[in-house]
Amino acid sequence: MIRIAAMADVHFAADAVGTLKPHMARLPVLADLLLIAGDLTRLGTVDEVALFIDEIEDAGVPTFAVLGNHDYHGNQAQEIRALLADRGIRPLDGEGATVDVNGACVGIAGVTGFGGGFLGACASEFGEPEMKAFVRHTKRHAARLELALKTLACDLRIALLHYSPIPETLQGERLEIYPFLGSYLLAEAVDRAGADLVIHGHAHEGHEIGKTPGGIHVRNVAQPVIRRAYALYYFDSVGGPLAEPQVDFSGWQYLAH
Amino acid sequence: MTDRIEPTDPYVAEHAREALAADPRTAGLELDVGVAGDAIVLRGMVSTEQRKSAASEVIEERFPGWTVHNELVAREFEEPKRAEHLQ
Repeated sequence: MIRIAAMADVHFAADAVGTLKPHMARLPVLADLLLIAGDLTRLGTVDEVALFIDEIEDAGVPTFAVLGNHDYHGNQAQEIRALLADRGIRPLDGEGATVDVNGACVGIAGVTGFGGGFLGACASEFGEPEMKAFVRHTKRHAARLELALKTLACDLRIALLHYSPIPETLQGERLEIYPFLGSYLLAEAVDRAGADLVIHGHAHEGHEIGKTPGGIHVRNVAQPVIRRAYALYYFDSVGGPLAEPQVDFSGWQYLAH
Repeated sequence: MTDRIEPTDPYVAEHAREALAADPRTAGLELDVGVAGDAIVLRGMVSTEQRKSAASEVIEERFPGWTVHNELVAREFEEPKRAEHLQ
């Protein structure tokens, strides 16, 4: 079994210190790895990231992260990635990483992604230079995601994004802002390369569960959507059995898909 | 200080949203801002009571004469109560 914890849109800052830490302590007995799908910070400063890392370091499991749009706001993205790496969190920016979990190889391909919209209502690379640059930015991210996924030869492959690859997990958001919340190009990249799960955030008013047109699970783990510090996704058929029962599951609810 | 905007101003909700985005106390909070009569209505979820209070402060300072209906929910997210099993 592979047990994944995932979170996004924490928007951490000094005024939130102490709000998350108490809820991270049990994560190591509930999950084997932690995925963070962007917007770790409110304004994208190194100081905010340092506080965020202090808050989650009790998780004590392999942790991977992509940056979200908020994490870019302070123009310190490079410094933020360096600090994450120094503190043991693997930042992913268009590349893949692997980790051995319970006898299985888990591969994570991470990229922030960008907007542009979805089939039938999406931007195209035409007109003003700014419009072309907007679409090209998304295309670059999609291409890097596809390549990163294709290079992962693992038992389980996960795409970690900030922006959404599908409109289903945006349901609840205003239709007018869908083009700023994601792009079909990301879904196309995942479907071409293949994956077992896509994790994203960014859409606070959206919906947790969806699938790409190719049938790959998509989960929006923005904290306002999951209404928990993190969500848990278990793949029962990948990897060996747990060495010993680590969690009292009584009283838990399960969803099977 | 923003010039006084009359309650009939059709643009006040967007001006309020911009004011919240520009103020360091509330930048990046991604709030839902609307207008109902002579009130500016704030909705959405924030992670601390401090952020909720800051939103009212900014609107009251920048839009004197308007009432603030602060319906923001300050919510702390706890650990999950279930896991989803995927194939």
